[in-house]
Amino acid sequence: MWDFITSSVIIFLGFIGVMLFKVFSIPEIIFLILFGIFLGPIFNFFNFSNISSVLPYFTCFAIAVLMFDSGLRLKIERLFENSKLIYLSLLSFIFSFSVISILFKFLFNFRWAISLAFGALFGGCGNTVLLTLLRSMNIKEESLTYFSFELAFSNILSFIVALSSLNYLSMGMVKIVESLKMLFTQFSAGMMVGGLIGVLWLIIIYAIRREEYFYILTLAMLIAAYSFAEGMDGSGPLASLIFGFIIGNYERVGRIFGFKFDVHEVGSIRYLLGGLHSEITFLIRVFFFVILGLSFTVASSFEFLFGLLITLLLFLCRLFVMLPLTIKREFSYEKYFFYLNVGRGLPTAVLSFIISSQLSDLSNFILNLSIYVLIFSNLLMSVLVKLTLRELTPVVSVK
Amino acid sequence: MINTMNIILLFCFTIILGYLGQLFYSRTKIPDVIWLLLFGIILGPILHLYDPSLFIRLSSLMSILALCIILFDAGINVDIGLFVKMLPTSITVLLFTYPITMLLVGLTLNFFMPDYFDLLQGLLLGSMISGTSTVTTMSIVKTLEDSGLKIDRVKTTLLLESVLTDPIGIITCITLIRMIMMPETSLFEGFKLLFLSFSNSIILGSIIGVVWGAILDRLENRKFNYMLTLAIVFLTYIVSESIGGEGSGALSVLLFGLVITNFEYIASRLEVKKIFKVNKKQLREFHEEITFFIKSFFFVYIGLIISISPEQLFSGLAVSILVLVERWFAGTVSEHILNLSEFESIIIKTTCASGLPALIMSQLPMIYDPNRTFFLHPEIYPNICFIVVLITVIYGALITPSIVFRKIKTITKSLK
Repeated sequence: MWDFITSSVIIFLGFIGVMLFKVFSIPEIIFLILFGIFLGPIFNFFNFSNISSVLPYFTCFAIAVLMFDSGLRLKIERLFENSKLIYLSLLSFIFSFSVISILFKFLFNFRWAISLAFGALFGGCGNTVLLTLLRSMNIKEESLTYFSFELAFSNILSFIVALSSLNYLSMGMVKIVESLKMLFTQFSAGMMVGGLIGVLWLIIIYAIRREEYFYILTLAMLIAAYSFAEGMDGSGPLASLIFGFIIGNYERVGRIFGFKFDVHEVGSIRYLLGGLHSEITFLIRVFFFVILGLSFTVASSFEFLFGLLITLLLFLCRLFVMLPLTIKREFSYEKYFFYLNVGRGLPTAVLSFIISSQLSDLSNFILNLSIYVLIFSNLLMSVLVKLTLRELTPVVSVK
Repeated sequence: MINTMNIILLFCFTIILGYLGQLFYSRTKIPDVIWLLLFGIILGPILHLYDPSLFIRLSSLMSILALCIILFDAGINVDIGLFVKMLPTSITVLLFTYPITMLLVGLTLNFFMPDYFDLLQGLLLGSMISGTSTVTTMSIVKTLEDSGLKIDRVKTTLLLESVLTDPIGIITCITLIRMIMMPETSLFEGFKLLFLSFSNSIILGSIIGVVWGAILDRLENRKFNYMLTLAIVFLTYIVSESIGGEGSGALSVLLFGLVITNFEYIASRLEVKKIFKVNKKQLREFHEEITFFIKSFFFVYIGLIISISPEQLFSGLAVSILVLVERWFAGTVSEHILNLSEFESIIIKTTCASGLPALIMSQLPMIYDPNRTFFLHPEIYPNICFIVVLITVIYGALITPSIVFRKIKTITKSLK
């Protein structure tokens, strides 16, 4: 019974967090984590153990939905026609990921696989806050496209690298070539399952496009794709990604099979995927951030300072990559927002639970560090955005 | 000791005979396959002009070479637009032919020849001969077309079916060999191995195809592009086998060929502006020459190494009859499900010739188990496959056209 009460309170808190974001323009992530910390470790209203039994299942569901969401956002035309997007996103991730991995390796002397997992945990910028903010301003469509693409691409890379590193660890003392082969097999199997189920679902969508409960059925198919891929020793996250990619590009992919979607039918599918899907992702977001707060344990000030260090390093890495690449851009003011996208988001929260469950000795360290990085990076981002907006007020207007 | 001059002579006469076989085909309607197999038998088991042990030592190399060339040929000759359109039809025919034939042959051999075939080994032979050969099927279909019949739809269905059965057969064959050599493997594990082989092959073949297509686009109109592409075909096979496991190479090579010649179609459907273009005509022309040579030599090679006992001859005959009868059944079911015309249905019912893929796969037990630990009589596979290929090819070349023409007469009479 406590599990249900805790869950319902978490959802209410999430809603309050979103309201507070609208009022104070501070990312709701911070409020949600703080709610969790106050209600859990400080006032002991709720215990982390009340929810820990359902956490593994919810984590798998969250990964499937997140990767599905990333796949939905990846549009074919952006992938193939604007390779700049891919280079920018890739460079940004690789640089942050490498710096953090090297830091962990040399500071703690972890195995490379563990260091890479940490690198992926903090390397990706999975925060939707800046994107939400920019949509309300008169920013060029190209910049919005970049942020949306970077969000999706960064999520994908974070999950794939982190989960692959953990898989490599679980293989034991296997030669690197053998482990690469096994990883490739996992990827291929995941992609095949996602592709086959995606195409099958596309055919079914075409047949039932006028029916109700379309989104729930799609969710069921997503879970089936994830489970089946994992059952065949494939990558469930990758299967979810490819499934989402096919559904997100249903018009173009459907054309290969001779499907022609009517413009009214297209509208209803988009609405269902957009509206209901955002409700589910809201639930996942809220749940994980509050639970993360509940899991906080007061340890040493080292974690606090280390979290601050990582946040500053991430900001510097961002500047290092973005400054030279945006210096010649014709946008006069939008380039500042490229530098400011340092807030970490839901992928960090989800991955922190996954990594901590695999590396149980470091569990508290991982969760606490993730909390600090999430809070500091989002605080830093919101402060810098406010300062930037103040400077740019004559230029930037709100829609 | 290897007599080099004799080997060179063998190459010469094989090519000449293969060429003449194609010329005589228009008059005799007998596919060149028959002449080449008989040539091999005459030189080997009958006149003992060549020592089969030399060629048996080369079986691994011969099989891989032939597999890569034939499957690449299948891939570059598939038009994906047509493929997608006719896929449901081809898959329906395949579903009612391949697994049922494989099961029937497996059960029959296990029942009548338990000393040579347990159930898995029987299924293994079934997997080798249940598919149809693209080359032989097209020869049969061409005979019908040359007689003035309009058979585009059924021709595409049969072509696609044969293209699909090649990699399916090879992967199924290798998976069964693995299951035989690892008896602790459960059915689910076997299915998983099959699925993983498929996914690795498809992904690898597609990635290499896209990359190589882009490179070929840059190297447009340069010399020796085809030879370089051939090198990549073999590299694709090796990389796929080492990363994806045994059996992955075949499908990768097929996908490689399919992707480089059909990327333009896929890209146009996805409205992707950046596409690469490959000189398909030149690629197909060059490759046809190589395919001809490999195919001709492989048939002669099979003829050289077989040694059939009366029991095996009888088994081969029985299996052939089983295959032909099951095909008739599959055609009947497909006719009702797919709403085919009587005319289309009779062509599907009577066209099921095995060929080069079956003979290539028949070598695999010997290659995978040279010490005869699990396959005590590996020579039985090429011997029985030889009989099945011979009978189904003769049936397809001589009997199928007469059945089809008789049916047309009946239909025409009933319409009048």
